[in-house]
Amino acid sequence: MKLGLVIDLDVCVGCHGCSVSCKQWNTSGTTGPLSDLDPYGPDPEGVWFNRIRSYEVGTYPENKTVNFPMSCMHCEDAACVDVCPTGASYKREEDGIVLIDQEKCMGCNYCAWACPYGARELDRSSGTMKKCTLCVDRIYDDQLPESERLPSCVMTCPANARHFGDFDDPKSNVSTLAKERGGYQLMPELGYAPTNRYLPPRTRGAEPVAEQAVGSTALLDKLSGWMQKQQRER
Amino acid sequence: MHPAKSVIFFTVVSGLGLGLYVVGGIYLALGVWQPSGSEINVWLGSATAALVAGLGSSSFHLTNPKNAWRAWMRFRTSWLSREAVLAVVVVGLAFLLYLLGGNSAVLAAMLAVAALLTLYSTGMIYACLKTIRQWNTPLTPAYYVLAGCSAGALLFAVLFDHAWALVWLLLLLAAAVKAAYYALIVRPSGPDLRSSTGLGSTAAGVRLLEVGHSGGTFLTREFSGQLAESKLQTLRMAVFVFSLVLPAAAIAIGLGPLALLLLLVGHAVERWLFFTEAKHVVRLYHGQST
Repeated sequence: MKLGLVIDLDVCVGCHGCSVSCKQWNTSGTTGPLSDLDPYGPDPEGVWFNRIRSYEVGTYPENKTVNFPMSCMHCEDAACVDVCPTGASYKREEDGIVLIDQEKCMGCNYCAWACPYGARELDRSSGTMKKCTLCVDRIYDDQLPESERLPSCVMTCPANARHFGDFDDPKSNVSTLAKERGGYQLMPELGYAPTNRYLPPRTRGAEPVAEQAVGSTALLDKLSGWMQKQQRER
Repeated sequence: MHPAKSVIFFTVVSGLGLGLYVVGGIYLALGVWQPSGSEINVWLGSATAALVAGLGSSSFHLTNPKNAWRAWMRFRTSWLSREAVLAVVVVGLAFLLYLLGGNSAVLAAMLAVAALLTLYSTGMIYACLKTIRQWNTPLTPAYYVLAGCSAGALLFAVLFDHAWALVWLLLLLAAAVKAAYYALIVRPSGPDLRSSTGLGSTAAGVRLLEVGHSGGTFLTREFSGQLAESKLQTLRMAVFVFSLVLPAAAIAIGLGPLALLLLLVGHAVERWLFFTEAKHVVRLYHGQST
């Protein structure tokens, strides 16, 4: 198995729900707590496994906002695992999930240097490195109803922008989505073969945008004409 | 990159110790150097002291040092682990050589090779990271080896008044490699905003609006560091002044110990710059260009 996420950039609304739900689940999970330092003070800081950025793509009037969630890519060729001197970082044979054994980590930060995606954050209160577990403590939990054996972020997403599944199975939801929508990897040139795929935002036709622009110019002309008329009459 | 003082001290001081092993080991193995028993003890004692002091200080940058002993566990894949294992091998070989009173050319040669490999491993810890383009070059380990050996050779020459020609050669070679390194890293390469997001048709067509964190994070602190171009050039000049010009002048007027001190200052400045100049690709996601 090659478990991972598909993230649909076309429908992500940037609500940060997945981040919050991730933090809530994982702070009591296998690598929890995700400590916060100075949470109510002037300079709050904490460990998060999932962070959402927003980008502006293109130039006005053909621009748009793209919300961009990022968490561990569970790379097939995970440099963070190779560089770890203690053996704390490891990639599971059976499903490809990259994990950190909190009992073994010595907090040298080397894995965070090796990760290009910023997936690893040091918890200063435990002195150990922490990262996304793909909710390994949910997805195999027989106590949960089968429909809930999903990573917390996927369960939470109100826009259905996150999908979880097995990329080794060509018929799985994630494989199909990635194939049909041209799912891509981030920074593939580094050669770490990230498992997670991003579905590109659908391109809107240029025409409606242009029409709208024309329309608004016409409206402006109308308005200024009306104002000039008013002034003349006065 | 944030330059950790303990790592700067570690790489400079353990480099000095390892270089001293290399130079003494080679000279002893070749029979060019015929030391007395006490000279052997001074040689091995000072090299081991420097190496152990360096290794000890390296543990100060760990946030969970109780697991530091585990750093020996991943020799097969991790250069950090290789460095740790080799450093212990070096100390072991040095102890054996001490027991034999320095009377083994084979052991001396093995010690020199192990020390060289340790220096190389230290360089490869940084050079193997594709995420930091300024480090990802063979010139990185080349400089770590040459810097360590030049400091070691100078200490060797100061202690035993031997091998001065080698000191000159290594000082010049190290400076030449550093100059080549500075010329190389000027060229931009690696991922840009476009390949890091897959958005837009050019990097110029993508702009970060929100960074995903409101305060600082571990990553923004770890990968911070920006130097004004003027300051950068001054510090690069200082690297050459302290690691070549001033030591050379001090040696020329017969002040060997001063030359060593100046050289170590030069290496510390070089190491500080090495970290500060390094731009991790994750900075792209924080709105900085690498």
